[in-house]
Amino acid sequence: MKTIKIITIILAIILITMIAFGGVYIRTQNRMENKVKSYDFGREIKGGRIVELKVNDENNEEIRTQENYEIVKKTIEQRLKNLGAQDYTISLNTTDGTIVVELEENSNTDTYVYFLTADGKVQIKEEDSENELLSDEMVKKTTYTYTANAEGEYQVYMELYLTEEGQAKIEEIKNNYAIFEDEVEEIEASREDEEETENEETENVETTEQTEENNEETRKIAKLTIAGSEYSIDKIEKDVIRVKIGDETSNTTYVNNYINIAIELALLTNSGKYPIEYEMENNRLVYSDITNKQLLYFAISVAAVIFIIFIALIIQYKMKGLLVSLSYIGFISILLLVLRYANVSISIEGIGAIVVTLIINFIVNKALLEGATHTEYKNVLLKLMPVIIISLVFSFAKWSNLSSFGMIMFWGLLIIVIYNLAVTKTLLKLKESK
Amino acid sequence: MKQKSKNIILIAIIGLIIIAGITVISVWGFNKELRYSESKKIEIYVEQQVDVELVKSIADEVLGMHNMVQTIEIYRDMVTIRAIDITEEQRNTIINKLKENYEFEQTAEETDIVIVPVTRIRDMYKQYIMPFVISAILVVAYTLVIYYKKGILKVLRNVILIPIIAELLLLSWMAIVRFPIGRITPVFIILVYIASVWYAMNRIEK
Repeated sequence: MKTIKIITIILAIILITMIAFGGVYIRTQNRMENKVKSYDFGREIKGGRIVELKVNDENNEEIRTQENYEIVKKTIEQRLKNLGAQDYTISLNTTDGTIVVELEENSNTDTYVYFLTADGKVQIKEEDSENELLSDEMVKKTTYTYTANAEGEYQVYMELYLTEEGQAKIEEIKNNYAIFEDEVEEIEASREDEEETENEETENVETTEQTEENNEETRKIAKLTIAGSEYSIDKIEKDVIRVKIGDETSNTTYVNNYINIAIELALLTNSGKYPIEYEMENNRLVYSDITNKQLLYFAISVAAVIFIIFIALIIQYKMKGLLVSLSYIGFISILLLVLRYANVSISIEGIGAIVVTLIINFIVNKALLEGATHTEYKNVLLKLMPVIIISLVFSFAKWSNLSSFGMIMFWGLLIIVIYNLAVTKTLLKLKESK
Repeated sequence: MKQKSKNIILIAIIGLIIIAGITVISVWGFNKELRYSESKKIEIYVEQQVDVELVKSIADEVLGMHNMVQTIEIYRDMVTIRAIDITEEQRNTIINKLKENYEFEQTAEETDIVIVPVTRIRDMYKQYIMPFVISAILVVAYTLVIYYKKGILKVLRNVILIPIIAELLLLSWMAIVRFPIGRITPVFIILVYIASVWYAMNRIEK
């Protein structure tokens, strides 16, 4: 009876191993498709997007300094951090300012690439003129918000917080220029009327004189632009300029779009300014130099070491050594299956975590073979706590290489505890009581 | 006495290695992996899916073993070859050898040798610092709680000093033997940290 139980467990291990290493093939649309999820590899193993940014030739020589290149590099880093990018490397050529950004290839990469060169400049300029009235440096930070009216219509706003200098400047602009949406609309409407009046064939001197007077009284218009696009100013309160993003609407698709625009603009303006203009030279998907063959050679080397350990265990512990070796294979199979389905991205650090997990499992199996007492178990677990702490801290790290290590260690340790209690210990108990 | 002299010898060896490592780092710095070093690259549009192994063998022949070959774009019909230095002659040889195996239009004269900027060590690893520091603090706190009966100073001495010395040894060894610092370095640092904490806990128990 006990022999049958042992054989059953071994057959189950063989089945799981076949699934983990071979797969489950089901006929789908006249071809055999492996239904077992494939591994998700990190950037260093899979490859990623490489974006090369070069200094725009139109920049003056005076601003082409190492200091400015460093500022741009820091701004890019800040933008990527704010966007939640979890895996990137940035290099800077301090001689010519070329910046190379390596990003993980996923559904967000194109968004990140857009933000690398997007202009986040905030300024108020006199209409049809290069006269800058309020510059970027006078804006401290930007946020966004939205309001709803009784009819369920939403209006999205951006709020630009000004520095002290900016506050003084905006007062001056308010007095001398038409800046609010309604003022600008009024002036533009009266201009249209004047054009119609001038087009009339009958000459009316009084009308002409009146038109000339009106021209003198009409204030100049000042326009606000954020990231190159014009926006209407709704309100100015003390140190905040409230800017309308889109129209008031109850259509949720439009509202969501306007909110996304506001988020994007806030991110651009809050992450810092580019003191020098850059342009994108290259934007390419580049595969890793680590080939499948190299990964296979590494896996074979690890398998060879494990095989040698198995032989040593069988020689030393005979039948018990064989059972533990078979159980170890089952452990590896379950670990690999869990990594596929737990949405864990396997980076180079993650592969290191797999190796550490295998070592820890071997230590636990050795303790089981030597008939470790409860106290000895407790001792091993106590010593494993630092590893558990490290894996938990790393799991929550934003850097995907580290979180890969942490997640794999976490799953590995969990499977070690559960699997060895459920399978390895059971096999050894059945063997001893035969 | 014998044990004491053994300990002194061990400490002396460790000290020498660390001093040698610091000297090498001060004079020559670390040896960085190619992908993080200042290097040169050429990009070749081969117009068909490329056999990376073949291109790598050509690159190894012309540029020596220290090179990097990567395929580009979704159809892998373009390849980038990177090395510390690529001369015009080497570029021409690579293009000619590739043309023996593939038909494509790009000529050697049309292939620019581009400088790839260096990635600084702090940019490579700054993301690791905070999680490492947090986990180290938590591990120290944990060992203090478990082993407080053994003496707080003894615990602190072991669980802080031993990992620090182990990491310094590792970095010194990497600097002295010119082991390339790159993608695999954090793995070694984490493994050495785990092993050194394990060793420190064993020492405290004894």
